[in-house]
Amino acid sequence: MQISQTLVESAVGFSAAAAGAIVFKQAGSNRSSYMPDAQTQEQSDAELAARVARRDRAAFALIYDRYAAKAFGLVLRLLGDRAVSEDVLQEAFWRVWQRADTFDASRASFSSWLLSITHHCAIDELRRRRTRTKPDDIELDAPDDGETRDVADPETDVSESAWAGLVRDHVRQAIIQLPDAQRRVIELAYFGGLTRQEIAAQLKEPLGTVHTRARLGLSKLKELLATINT
Amino acid sequence: MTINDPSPPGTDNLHDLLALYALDALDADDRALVERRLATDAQARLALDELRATVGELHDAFEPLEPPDRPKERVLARIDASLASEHISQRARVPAPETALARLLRALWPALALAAIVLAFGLGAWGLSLRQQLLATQAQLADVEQQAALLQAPDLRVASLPPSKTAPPTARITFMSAASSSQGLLMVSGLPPVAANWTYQLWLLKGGQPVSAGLFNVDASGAARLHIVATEPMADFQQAGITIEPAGGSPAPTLTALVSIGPID
Repeated sequence: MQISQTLVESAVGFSAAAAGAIVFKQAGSNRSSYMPDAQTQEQSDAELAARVARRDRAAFALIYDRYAAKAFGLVLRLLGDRAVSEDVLQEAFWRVWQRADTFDASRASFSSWLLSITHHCAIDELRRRRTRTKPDDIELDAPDDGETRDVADPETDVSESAWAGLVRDHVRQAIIQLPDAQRRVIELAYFGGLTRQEIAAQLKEPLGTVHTRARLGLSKLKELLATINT
Repeated sequence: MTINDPSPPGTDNLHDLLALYALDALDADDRALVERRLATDAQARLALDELRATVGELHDAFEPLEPPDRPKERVLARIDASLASEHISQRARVPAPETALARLLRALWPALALAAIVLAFGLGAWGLSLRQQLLATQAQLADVEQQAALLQAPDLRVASLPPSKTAPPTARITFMSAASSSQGLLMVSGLPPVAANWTYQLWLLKGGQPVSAGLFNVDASGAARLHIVATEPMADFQQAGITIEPAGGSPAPTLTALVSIGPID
């Protein structure tokens, strides 16, 4: 017996005689149109996290809906490849499910914790890629998303290919104002997934220098983020 | 002082490493070393939290982008498989009743020979059904492990089948298959239970020709899973569909009772 797509689409549906006593429950919409403020969001994230830790699948689905776009944007910016980014996104949220019981609301915001796991997954993928291709020198590729690049300000020497995706202005400003050497170390770590040894080799600098620049760079970044008006 | 120094790292070195840790710039060995230190050093944990908050501002500074449905479907499928196998494992861990049975036999046998023989015969039959239960649970566990293996397949396809116009619009019907294997997994939620003389029937379509792939009903929450092992690779089938049929199934689908149909490749 042949079933064609058009025949299927025009199938009338269930007759009472064929279907027997079936009652379709009308699912009401439970999506709230109320946008919670940051503090309420924090509380509800922590509640959801606690529910996920207790193996609540529905709570996990809500977490996914809330954070998938942020996580995917981050992963795609690091990896450039959509298909691979989808796999990494899936892996990141799987780890969120597995580790929900380790989330400590007193140490970090849930968003930060989740995105940190996401970033780590993306870095793992970058390192896997490198062991497969072993380039002599690690170049940070611009993600292939067809965007036109901003014209680089000649005075600041921001590596546009890496930081181009920053859409938060105060973060962008803070990065621009970092000393070049510190920014470069952060860039190679954050976007390139290089280890401290690989960064030292790439920059032809001693390990100690890399350490110092990472520490000072993050300290300076924190200071700049606090002082630049959002 | 470097990390290769056998003496424990000084505070300065640890704080350098914390910055690199927060940036994910450590290899596995260094990470393990830092984590050992963090376990006992509350100040180091506080310092790390601050560094992570700074790096977190970077994580948060990129353009969000809606992903497609596939990653969500896949991760939920993984979660469902893991929840199911946890449930089955818990049931399989119930201590084997044969121990109690063996003790009972040993206690009764020396007493009255005839009575003991009759009892042993009766208890033997009881022991057999317990063994069958254990075998069934083991078979379920093996089945769930097969499903977990399917979900790891590199050529796994996850298809979301749309509900028909008369099915609940919130019904979720997911069909997973590995193209090169003969295995598939149907997962549904949000479908109403069918009445006693009826059943849901899954069909796989090969060039438009339906082949029955199994019968199922949903539980009280409207959910069901059906693990399929076909006689040919899943790549041979292009669509899957679900209809409602009389109990026991039908040789061909009743088109007027269509719940869902869609591509699976």
